[in-house]
Amino acid sequence: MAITSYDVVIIGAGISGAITAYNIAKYNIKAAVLEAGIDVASGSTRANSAIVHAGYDAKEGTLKAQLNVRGCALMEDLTKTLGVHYSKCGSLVIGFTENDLEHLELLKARGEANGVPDLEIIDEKRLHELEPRVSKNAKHALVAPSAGIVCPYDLAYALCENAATNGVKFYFEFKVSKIDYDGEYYTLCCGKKKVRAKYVVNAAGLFVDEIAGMVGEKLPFDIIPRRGEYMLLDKGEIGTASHTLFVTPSEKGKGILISPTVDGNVIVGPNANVVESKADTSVTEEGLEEIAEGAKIIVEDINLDATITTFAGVRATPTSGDFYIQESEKFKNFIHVAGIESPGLASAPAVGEYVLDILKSCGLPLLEKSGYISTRTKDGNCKQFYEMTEEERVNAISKDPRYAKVVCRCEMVTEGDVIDALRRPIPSKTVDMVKRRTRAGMGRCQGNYCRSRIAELIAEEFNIPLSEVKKFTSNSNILYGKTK
Amino acid sequence: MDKSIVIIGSGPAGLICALSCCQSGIEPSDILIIERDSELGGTLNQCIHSGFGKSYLDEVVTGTELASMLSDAIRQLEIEYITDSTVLSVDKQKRIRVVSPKYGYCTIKAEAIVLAMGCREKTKGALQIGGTRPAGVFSAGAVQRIVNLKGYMPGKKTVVLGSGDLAMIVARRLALEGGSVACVCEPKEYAEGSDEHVTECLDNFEIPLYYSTTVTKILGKERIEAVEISKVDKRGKSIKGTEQKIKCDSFVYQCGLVPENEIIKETGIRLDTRTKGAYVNQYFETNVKGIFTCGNAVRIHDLVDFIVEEAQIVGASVKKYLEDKTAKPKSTVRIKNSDKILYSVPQHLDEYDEGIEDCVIYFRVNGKYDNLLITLKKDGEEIYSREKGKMSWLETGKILVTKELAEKIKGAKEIVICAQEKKNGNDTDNNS
Ligand SMILES: Cc1cc2nc3c(=O)[nH]c(=O)nc-3n(C[C@H](O)[C@H](O)[C@H](O)COP(=O)(O)OP(=O)(O)OC[C@H]3O[C@@H](n4cnc5c(N)ncnc54)[C@H](O)[C@@H]3O)c2cc1C
Ligand SMILES: Cc1cc2nc3c(=O)[nH]c(=O)nc-3n(C[C@H](O)[C@H](O)[C@H](O)COP(=O)(O)OP(=O)(O)OC[C@H]3O[C@@H](n4cnc5c(N)ncnc54)[C@H](O)[C@@H]3O)c2cc1C
Repeated sequence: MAITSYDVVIIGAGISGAITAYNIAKYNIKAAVLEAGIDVASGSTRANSAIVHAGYDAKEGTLKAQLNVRGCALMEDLTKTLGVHYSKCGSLVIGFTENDLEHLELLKARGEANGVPDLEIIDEKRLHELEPRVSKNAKHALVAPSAGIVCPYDLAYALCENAATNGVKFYFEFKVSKIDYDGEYYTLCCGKKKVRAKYVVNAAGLFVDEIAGMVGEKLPFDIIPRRGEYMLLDKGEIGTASHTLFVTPSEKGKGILISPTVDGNVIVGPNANVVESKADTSVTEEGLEEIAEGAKIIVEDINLDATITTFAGVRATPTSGDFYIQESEKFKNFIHVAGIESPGLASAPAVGEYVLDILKSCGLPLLEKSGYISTRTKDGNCKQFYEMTEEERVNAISKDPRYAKVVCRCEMVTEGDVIDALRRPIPSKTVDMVKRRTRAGMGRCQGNYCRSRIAELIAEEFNIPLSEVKKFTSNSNILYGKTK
Repeated sequence: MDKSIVIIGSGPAGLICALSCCQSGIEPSDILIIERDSELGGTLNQCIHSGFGKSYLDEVVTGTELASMLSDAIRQLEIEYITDSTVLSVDKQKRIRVVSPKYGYCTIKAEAIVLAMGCREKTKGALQIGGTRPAGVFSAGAVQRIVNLKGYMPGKKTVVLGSGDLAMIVARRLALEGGSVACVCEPKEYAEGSDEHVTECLDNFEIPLYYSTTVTKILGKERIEAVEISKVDKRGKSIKGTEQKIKCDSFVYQCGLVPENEIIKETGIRLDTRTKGAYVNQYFETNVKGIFTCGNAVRIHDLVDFIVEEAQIVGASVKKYLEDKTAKPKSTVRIKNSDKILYSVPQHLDEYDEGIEDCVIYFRVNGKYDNLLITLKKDGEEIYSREKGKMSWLETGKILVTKELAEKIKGAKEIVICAQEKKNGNDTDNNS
């Protein structure tokens, strides 16, 4: 069988791979993305705090500082172009003591050196006006108005959908396990499946070191998997915080944050614990306690009983402490996008530019594509029923009556929205894929009501028996056979 | 579109309310029932077990039978209903936004609205169990729907957490359908549901029930493979060192029901933080005049019997409201609770020109008591007292407000429902 050849192959469809694919799709380049998971955003991009950090955390002069501030500045336009939920809600770092105030001054100076706009330290009066639920023990806060929040997986879907619309090919369940190099082409293998490319972008997140190892390279740092656990609160609790609320970092770590999400929930977390396995996204009783305690420092009466779900994500923390984005020192045209821990999401738009520049300097010709489509699909960005105006709703229903049938009661997702998700440029094939694209099952009942109807819609669309419908992977069937 | 009366939800509360509106003289053609499921009947449709309708039919039938009897009555009277239709919101002006295959996206203006949306289940998030998030984890209500309505099994070997009636009924259903239930875990020292259900649903099927036990971890990557269970102490915290792994391919949990009142978030209807339903007067009218509510939307009921009573009260009240929409109460008496009382409904009594008419105050207690004395106090003075004997949170207590009692209540700003535990003989403990 002939092996398909590409100009560029990207390993990993996390936010780093997605933004790279999105940027490449603007040019006449034959490109593909190889993703080990069944879906886009199968790694860190799926579960994180979703904060578009302003850029005062990273040390002056680091690549992280540079890309964070630039990424944050580009985020608003990017999300607008692709119809991704984003809000420039601003962040507050809260101080309780004189020591904390000193630290806030330090962060402010660092932020200013990094180029973060409009930083300001406010007193308790202003703080409590801005955030009435914050503990009365809080005395000061560093305000960063440029910080925001975004839906991380939706941003990754949007970038990939746009790339797919513009001709980038996506391979899922393609876990690169072997790479050969003949001096011109890299051949990437997943069992018997193979593709080859002249340029390779290694954006494998937690596994960048293993990918490097496949071409016989050792990255100049180790990747330490550090898990962060979260609680997600019901929409009724949105009054808890209107900015992202951090505590002043200390030797003990960055502390627990409380933030609104773009969908109107409240996210609380994360802790940071080194785990043995890079795939260990389980939550622990102790972890949740740690988060509860941390959250109560900021908002003493936070209503954690309104938790609708708990989850965890794993950071790919490099021992070097900085992003590492460069061409391999040993292999031509093999580019590592490595050590992308937080703020990898906030930095993504800038990471994309940076990677494109490297590809260009390696000699990849960038000729603009004629007929480039700037939105997710050739018909624009998808809009869901709950996002539509009254008039759009009436129109949608008259075109397709399935928009009049609500499947997910909690998030007001209609059958029309689900069918659309099943037919996007990167089609949903599982209940979880539909869930992350439409929010069906992400509300307060967590899919207990709609999950079986969504499974039915998937079964109908792909003409498979209901018991064959998966939650996410090949062995995650939702239902067993028929009753007696 | 305009309609005199719109009833949202077609569970027993909505359907009986529609029927009782007609009994009180309202024209069937003035009523519209809106239901988001494809059939009328609400939760009854998934209850294929017997035990429904005692107070309404004088016989006991299954939930599905009761649903079809009620639906037949609705069709016979030619009351209009739309199914597969979801109400998105209700505003103070009584405009209802609906999406429905029949009317598309539309607004219906009503003179009176009855909120009968029932309830929803709380989720696993509230339980905060550790571990992974594989397939094979279900709420008890979801399993009931999957098994009874869709004919599919959630798994072959199940662990159940929670011993409410619903969890026990579901455990039995799984056993009857050829599945096996490894155990039912209950964090409390006693069963949450009724003793009869422990016998009928668990003991008779040799399903072990572990008290003071909870599930602390879910294990498995893709499909659930096992759960870790642990003993819990009196404060509900798991005890280290008592962990035990139980193999299973499905996990079912029940962690309580909450009234479904999402659509009235912006209506300006005051909700009770204890019941999570609306504040109502004895007519089950909310603080927005002309908007009534009954059934599980008001408070969680265990039996349809009390829902029948409420729905009938609402039917008559709607009629009365439509006859004189401007009538205002002369005064209002708030009903407060002392500490053994979980909640009471209605939350206040309205006095109109005709005085406080005969009505009922429903209440629940917050524990299991052997010898309970219930009293009503007005300005510290006892105006009512009844010995209830044994009483637990499972039962709904009733205080009948008769003419005589109404006379005593008259003029009060508030009255307090008190519960005292009588110890041997006449000793009562000190609490009011
Ligand atoms: C707890 C936590 C909180 C965070 N909070 C924030 C925040 O608030 N703001 C912020 O900006 N950033 C935050 N981050 C960081 C951010 O999530 C990451 O920097 C970002 O998602 C990394 O994206 P990525 O594409 O580099 O890696 P990933 O998202 O991990 O993507 C890598 C992809 O490569 C695939 N892959 C791996 N190996 C192979 C292989 N062999 N073959 C094919 N595919 C492969 C994986 O399946 C995966 O989909 C947080 C991270 C965590 C874990
Ligand atoms: C497992 C189980 C066992 C039970 N066993 C018994 C028993 O043995 N005996 C007994 O007497 N009782 C029993 N019950 C109790 C009884 O079935 C319920 O309490 C009763 O059905 C509740 O009635 P309802 O009308 O308030 O709510 P529901 O029956 O839940 O009806 C509410 C309806 O409103 C609809 N709705 C909600 N929101 C909207 C909206 N926005 N737009 C349109 N429609 C909407 C819903 O789809 C639903 O159909 C049992 C309940 C359960 C769950």
